[in-house]
Amino acid sequence: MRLMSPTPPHPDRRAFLLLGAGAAAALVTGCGLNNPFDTSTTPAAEAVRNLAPDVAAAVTAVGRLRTNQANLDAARAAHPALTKRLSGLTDLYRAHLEALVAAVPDGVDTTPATAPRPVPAGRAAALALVGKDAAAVQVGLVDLAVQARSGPFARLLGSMSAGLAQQVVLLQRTPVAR
Amino acid sequence: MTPLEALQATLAAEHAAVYLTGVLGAQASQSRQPVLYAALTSAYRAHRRNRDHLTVAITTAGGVPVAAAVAYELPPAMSNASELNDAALQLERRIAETYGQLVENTAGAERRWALVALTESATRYLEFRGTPEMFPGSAS
Repeated sequence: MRLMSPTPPHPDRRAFLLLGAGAAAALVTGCGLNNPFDTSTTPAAEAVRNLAPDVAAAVTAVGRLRTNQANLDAARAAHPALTKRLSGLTDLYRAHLEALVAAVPDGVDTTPATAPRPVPAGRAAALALVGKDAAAVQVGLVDLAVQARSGPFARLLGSMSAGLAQQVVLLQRTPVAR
Repeated sequence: MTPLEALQATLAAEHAAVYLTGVLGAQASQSRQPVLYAALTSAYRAHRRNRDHLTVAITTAGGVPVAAAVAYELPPAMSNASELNDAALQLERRIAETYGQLVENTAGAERRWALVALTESATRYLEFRGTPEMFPGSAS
């Protein structure tokens, strides 16, 4: 007798994302926008707002992850001693961005709109801020997953959120010297 | 898979998890392995709580909650802390995947609850000496 029923096969998440990206790219070819939820009324802004809902969610998630990634890179540069401690989160952001980037239409610019935030002088404070950023994105991914129209996409966002939660726990486990 | 079918599959998995964490907890020593014992006790309570939530959700949805099996296949080895950790970790990985499936096949409040359960299971990996994963709960 098995412990649990086996999970049935699922659609490949990349196939789903590429499908969404293809549909969305047709809408926004040539657009260069930072924020898909921009309230301006230019045709380009409206086109991005009208993206398939899950593609807009992917754009939002990529933007948040890239902002966190930039802040994390800044923290590592200011405190090289944190590099090893932050390696798991660094790899996680990279893997998550790779999974989502196929869903972002070519014309949409998801680079962080602002420069990385100033890094606290103390290592502990810098680490805490990186953890706080990760926790905020983790909660945001849950909200995006709840709103997702596609089940497989919701699952992808949920698994990303769970992976981030693991990293947040690890960051909080051992205090660092100030 | 319908939402009700996904809820039933998750309940079946939680029945097994309650059984197994109970067995694993009975093998751990509260005095000699206090951290492991506490983690298993916490996991047992979480799975029991989730089982009860799922039972109510299925009943509310008009279904008849799937019953627990009489017995479940036990891990091949449970004689020391390492083996108990391995068994608990494997259990949590399977449960996380089951919650991933529930996320995929539900919407609204049910999906949000499944997302929380998925996250809790993923963070329990770490209690059982598991290493973090990029996409816990994704389809294998």
